[in-house]
Amino acid sequence: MGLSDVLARWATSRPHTLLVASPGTTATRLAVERWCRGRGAVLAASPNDADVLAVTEPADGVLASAVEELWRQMPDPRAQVRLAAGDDVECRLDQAVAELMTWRPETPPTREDEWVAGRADDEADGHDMSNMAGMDHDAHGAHDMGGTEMPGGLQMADRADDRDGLTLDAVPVALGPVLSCWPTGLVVDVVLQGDLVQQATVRPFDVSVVEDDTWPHHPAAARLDRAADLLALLGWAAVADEARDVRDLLLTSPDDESIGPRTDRVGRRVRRSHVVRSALTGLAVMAGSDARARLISWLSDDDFPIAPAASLEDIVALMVGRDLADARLVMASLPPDLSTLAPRRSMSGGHGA
Amino acid sequence: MTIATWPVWAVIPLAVVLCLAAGLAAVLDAAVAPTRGSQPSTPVAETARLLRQTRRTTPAPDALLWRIGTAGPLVTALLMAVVIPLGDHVPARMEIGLVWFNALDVLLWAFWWMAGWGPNSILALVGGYRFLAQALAYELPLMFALTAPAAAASSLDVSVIVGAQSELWYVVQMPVAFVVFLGCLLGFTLWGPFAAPLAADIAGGVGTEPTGIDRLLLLAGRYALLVVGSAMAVALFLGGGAGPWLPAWLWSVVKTLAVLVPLLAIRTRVPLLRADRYMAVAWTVVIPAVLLQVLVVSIVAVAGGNGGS
Repeated sequence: MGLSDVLARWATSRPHTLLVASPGTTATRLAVERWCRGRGAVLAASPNDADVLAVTEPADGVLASAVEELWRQMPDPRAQVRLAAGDDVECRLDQAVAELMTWRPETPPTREDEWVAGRADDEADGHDMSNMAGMDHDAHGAHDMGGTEMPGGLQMADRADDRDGLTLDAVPVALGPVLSCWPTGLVVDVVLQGDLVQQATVRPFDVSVVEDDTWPHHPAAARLDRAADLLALLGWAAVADEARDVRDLLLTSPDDESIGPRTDRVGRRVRRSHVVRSALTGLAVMAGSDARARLISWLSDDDFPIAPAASLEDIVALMVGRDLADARLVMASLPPDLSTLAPRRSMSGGHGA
Repeated sequence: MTIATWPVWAVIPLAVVLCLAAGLAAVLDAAVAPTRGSQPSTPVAETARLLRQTRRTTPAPDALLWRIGTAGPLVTALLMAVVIPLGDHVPARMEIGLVWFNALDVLLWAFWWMAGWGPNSILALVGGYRFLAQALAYELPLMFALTAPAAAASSLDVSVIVGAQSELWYVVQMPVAFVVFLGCLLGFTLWGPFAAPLAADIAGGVGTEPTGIDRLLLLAGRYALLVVGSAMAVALFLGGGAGPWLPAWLWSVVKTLAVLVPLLAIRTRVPLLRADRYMAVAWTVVIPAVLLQVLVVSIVAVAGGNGGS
């Protein structure tokens, strides 16, 4: 019918893409971002906001189940794309969008509530309720609330003392493995009271890291990428986008004359900002440098920026006692080198598109 | 200027006009605050996309409160618009129109909180907590900023306040109240520096879980609130529809756009403010400043009244 086609054409003119980039697949990730720029698409923050799920191979370990979970949560119309190293990223993603365009709603809808169906199977071994992309509600399987059955069969959060002497609900939440501006594949189990992190432990890392030489050959672009992530977490979209533009320019035409002035402008705006100063000063202090000092060094053309060697346990220990926003900033300002955690795996097929 | 009321049935076309105005605000937003991949036709594409999207839910949500929360902002905007004059006509002339506006923005506390608590999702809940913290910071300054034009005009009727600005616009007489009103408008629409409840670091916060039509209502409600808040700022501080040559309703529209476009442009250009950082500033700097403003306005009003009579 004509109206459905018109609606479908408009609806797919701006596809929201949820990108799950396995650690190390930088070239493919940048190709997806480039496609989004060219197509007018955006990267989605949560599966409920996404139409296309783009996964770079190999998403194994905890990422495999995470990807299934995300796929289940995405509303129709949806499309999934698995991108290997040598693939033509643009072509595959365009095909996915064409799939979206041809989708028509079914009446009655045949996609059942997978959570209800899955729950019947999981009843025996203690529920694993996941109602969020990358933030899981782990139910206390062994805890008996004395017969109070909460709606949906979920357990109520346990209560614990907090730092002000109150007794508040303590909710166990898993940060990761898929979260924006977060090292993909890393899972940090935190216990939140309100939005304060009371405990934080890191799960053993079981995702294989791909060998990729994009960042080692372009250290300035790597620094800008990290800075852009931190700025995006601070909510400063304009400056984060500018940093990403300069990063892309560094990778495509490194001799462009506008790179230096633009980086300087970004650095100056960040240095002068009072909000950034109050948000990052004294945060994530490691080896004498705090988050603000590291961010400024990333945005300068210093060839040896501040990069303290910190183990994951140290990074996660800095999160305790902070609120969720600060905990995310801690992880973004001390990006861990995931390749040291898991055996490296090299992808055949050369560089991605 | 005398302000007349429209007939009762006029609220229906006016509601349509407000929704279209919200769409226009979204188009202007894409034009003045571009992010990667946004263009002026973006709102049409996003609306089409959300109309096509199926609704998803979470395990054991509080469905009633969640639906109320996501539809709340748009309904609040429609109700607020009822007392705001467009040119020299107003949908409903209430003697306590200003209190009506204030009561509705207090209702927004409930709606944004319910949108965060309803889906039974930790990230949405954290968004709700963040909203409550920032609401504690902006609500009192907003109430005192609304008192200033009422004190100057000796009336709570928005139409009378517009009429009382025939000689001098209130923005000249009470600039602090104007600026504080605009800041609090950003606060209750979760816009610009006050968008922490919808931030990317909590995967969209209050906006993580709604899909399809719920999401459309929530996002459209935000734009509608911005439009209505700008129109209120025009009525309270910028003289409503007063101006030479053009008809009064066109002046209202032009002035509303003049307030709306800079507010839209702020969105990407400042980082997010966190409530725990600025709470002290809100209570120790902003509230005394607004109270001083109200004091000055009251003294001027009393002295003017004594001098005139």
